[in-house]
Amino acid sequence: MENLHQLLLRQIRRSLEDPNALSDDERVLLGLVSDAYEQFDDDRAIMERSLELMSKELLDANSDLRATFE
Amino acid sequence: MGMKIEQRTWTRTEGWSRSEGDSGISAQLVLVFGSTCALKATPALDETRADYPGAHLFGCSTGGEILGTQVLDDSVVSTAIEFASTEIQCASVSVKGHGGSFQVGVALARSMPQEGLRHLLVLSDGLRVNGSRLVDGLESALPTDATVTGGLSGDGERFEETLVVSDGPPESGTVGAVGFYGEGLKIGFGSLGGWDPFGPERRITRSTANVLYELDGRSALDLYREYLGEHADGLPATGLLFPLSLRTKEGETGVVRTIISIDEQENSLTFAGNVPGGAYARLMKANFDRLVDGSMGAATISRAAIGERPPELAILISCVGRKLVLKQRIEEEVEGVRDVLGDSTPLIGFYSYGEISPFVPGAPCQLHNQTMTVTTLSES
Repeated sequence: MENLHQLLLRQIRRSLEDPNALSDDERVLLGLVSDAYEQFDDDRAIMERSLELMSKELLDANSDLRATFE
Repeated sequence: MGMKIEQRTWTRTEGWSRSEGDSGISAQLVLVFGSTCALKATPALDETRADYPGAHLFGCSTGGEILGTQVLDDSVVSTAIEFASTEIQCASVSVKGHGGSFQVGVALARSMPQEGLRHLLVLSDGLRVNGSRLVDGLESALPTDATVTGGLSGDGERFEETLVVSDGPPESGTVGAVGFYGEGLKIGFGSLGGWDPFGPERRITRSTANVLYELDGRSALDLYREYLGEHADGLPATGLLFPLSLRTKEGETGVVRTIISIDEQENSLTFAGNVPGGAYARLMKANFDRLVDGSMGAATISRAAIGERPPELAILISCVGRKLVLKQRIEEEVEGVRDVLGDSTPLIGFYSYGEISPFVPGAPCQLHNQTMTVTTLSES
C-alpha cells in the first residue's frame, strides 16, 4: 500500500473508511492504477524536459544568427 | 478451402494451452514467437515439433508476443497453418559481423528456389544486422515480383541476445526466411508509425553506415543523454523514447530509426538501419492516439490489398518502442488492428527491434523502426 502513487494514496484515504479491508484483487487493481499514474508523471516530465531543452537550443540558434547579422 | 489455422499460447506456469477444437491439423508451417529466455530454456519448441511433425518451424525471440488481441511477456505463442494450395520453403543464413548484412541478404534470397516465389517472410537477428543493408541485399537478389516483409527479432528491453528459429534450435546471429509459392495466395502489407517529429532539424555530420557520431558537429550520444535526463542510464532501451526521423531529400517521406546499442568509448550510437551522412534528422516523440491510428492505418492498407473478404491470417510486427511508451495501453493498438480486420482473422505477431515492409504495396521495401507492420494472407 505504502508504495502507491502519492495522489492515489490520498484519494484512498479520503474515500475509504478502512483501507486495510481491501481484498487482494482490489489491491492488484490499485497497483495497476498507481503504475498508470506514475507513467503519466514520467511521460510529462520527459515532455517538459524536451520542451525546455528545445527552447534553449532555438534561443541559442537565434542569438547566433543575430550575432552573424549585426 | 483456404487455410486451416491453430493457435496456442505457452506460459511458464501453464505450459501449452490448446484452444477449443484444437485437433492437430497437418500444418506445413508453424510460426513461433517467444521471449529469448522461454525459447532457450524450455521444452516449448520440442512439444510443438512433436505436435506438428511435418511442419517447418519458423519464428524468433521478441520484445513481447501477440496472439489475438493479447500482448504477452515471457511466453511463447504459436500459429500452425495448413495451406490449401500454397507451398512453402524455409532457409537460414548465419551472420558474420555488420559489414556483411548486404551479402547475408543476397545469400538468403539465393537460397530460396526463385521460380514461382511470391513472398518472403524474413526474421533476422536483431542486434548484429544492419537492417537497411539486409533489405537492400534481399531486394537485389530476389525476382522483382516477389515481395518481402518481416522483422528484426527482439530481446525485451535488454538488448543482449536475439534468436531466430528456422527449423533447427533457436540461434543468435541468424537470418531466416519462409518463401511462399503458388498462384492461390493473396498477400497484403502495410506499415505505419504515428510518431511526431519535434525540435530543430539536425544535419548528420559524422556517421558510417548505421553508426552515428555527430549531429551538427556535436556528439549525438551527448544529445540523447541530455534529452533523456535521468533515463539516460537506461540506454539503449530508453533511446526508443526518442526515435530519429531521417530524410535525405526535400519533401521525402522520412524513415524512422532507433538505437540498438551505444558505445561509450567511441561516443557513438548504433541504429537498426543506415544513418547516412548529410541526411537531416529530427527527434520524435510519441503521441498515443496517433500510435493507435498508425496501427489501424497499417491494417487498413494491408487488408485493402487482399480484396473483399477478410484475410485468413494476419502477422503483426510492431516495434518494442511502441510497447515501451504505450505500456498498459499496448493492447489498444492490437485491438485497433482487430477492429479493422474483423473477428474472423487470427492474429499473431511480436514486438521487434525493426520492421521490414514497404509502407504500402508497390513501394520499395524498407527497414522501419517504431512502426506497426501488418502482413495479411489469404488463399482464394
